[in-house]
Amino acid sequence: MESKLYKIEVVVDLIKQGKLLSLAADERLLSQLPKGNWVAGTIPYFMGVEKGLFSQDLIFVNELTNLDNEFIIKEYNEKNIHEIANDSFENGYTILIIPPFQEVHKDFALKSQEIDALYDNPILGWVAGMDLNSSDVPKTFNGQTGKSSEQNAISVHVKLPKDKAARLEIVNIFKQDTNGIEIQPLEDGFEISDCLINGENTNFAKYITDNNIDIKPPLTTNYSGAIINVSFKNIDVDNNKVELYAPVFKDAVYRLSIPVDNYAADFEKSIPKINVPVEFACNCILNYLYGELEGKRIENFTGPITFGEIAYTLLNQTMVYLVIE
Amino acid sequence: MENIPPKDRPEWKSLLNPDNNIELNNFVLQMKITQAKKDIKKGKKTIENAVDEIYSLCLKYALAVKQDMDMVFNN
Repeated sequence: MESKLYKIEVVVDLIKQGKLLSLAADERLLSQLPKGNWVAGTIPYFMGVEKGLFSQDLIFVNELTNLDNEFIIKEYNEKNIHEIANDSFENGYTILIIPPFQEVHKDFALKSQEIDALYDNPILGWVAGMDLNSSDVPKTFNGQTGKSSEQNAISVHVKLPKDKAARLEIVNIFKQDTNGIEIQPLEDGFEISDCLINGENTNFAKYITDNNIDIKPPLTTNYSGAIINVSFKNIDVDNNKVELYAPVFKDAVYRLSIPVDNYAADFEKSIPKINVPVEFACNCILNYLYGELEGKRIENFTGPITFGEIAYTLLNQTMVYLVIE
Repeated sequence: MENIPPKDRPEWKSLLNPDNNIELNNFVLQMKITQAKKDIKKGKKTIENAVDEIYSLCLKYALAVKQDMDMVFNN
């Protein structure tokens, strides 16, 4: 079944048929759905089949590959999120949807790399969101109970047969400015005050302001060739700190990234040729906004436009996708 | 898996050397090796444990890591 936006009547039918679904939509639609085998998060921004769009009338549906007909839907909070990898099947994958700025969000972001067996199976997903011109509160939904939550993350662990493997990949169009400054945070967290810039103790907020640095492109760090982004949220000049949408870690070196002129074109160039269907994909709201992706198409990679992406850990300004081979 | 070299090849430990800044292509391998280097540095893991885990990961994703295996082992 094609991963795309559907009318609520179609989604209700799919739920009644017992399909295993990962859904994304406005809360007003999700709250009307019957109980069933589904998980969801709130968001009204999507990369549709034809274009990027805002919709509060349609629901994005990923029907999940469930060849062994074995899955577990489970909620997580800050007390049990560290169990997530151990809860997964020996072979399979986990989709995780987290509400933003809650304890589970912070805890997962800061401590995911300490989770036991984190890399044994793909753990991917997204951070729920809302209409940016509203006072809506992002939520997650557990289809089995029919209940929503502002605090809890929701996940579905899916088992795969031994002859199948789920593979998680990212597409990051940002490149590190390797000729620019090196930034070393002095502590782990969602903000940077003082840090080392090229080895010298410097206030990062003052440095950015004094040097008129564009904060639309993210900070980046290099994980053995994978460029991991951390997006800027705000420069708090009064309190001399830089606020971020994902954490930085004191044992990592960060660099600024090179600004992108044409997001849609760069995505097209960066997307690998794959010969199996994409099981799940999501892309970042900052790419959607800064890249003006509304009305533009990214072929084969439909999905929610999110307030953060999960690919074993919390990422920003990145497209995440899963294939089953 | 025929394209995953034996675990006793020295390149496995070399991959985990903190001074080895090799750039890999497969995402989970990139993440796993970076985390393993940090864990070894902090004393949370021995290099032998880390090699065991990375070897198992490569067996599971033999097809996906083939390009990286060819590069690391000069095939």
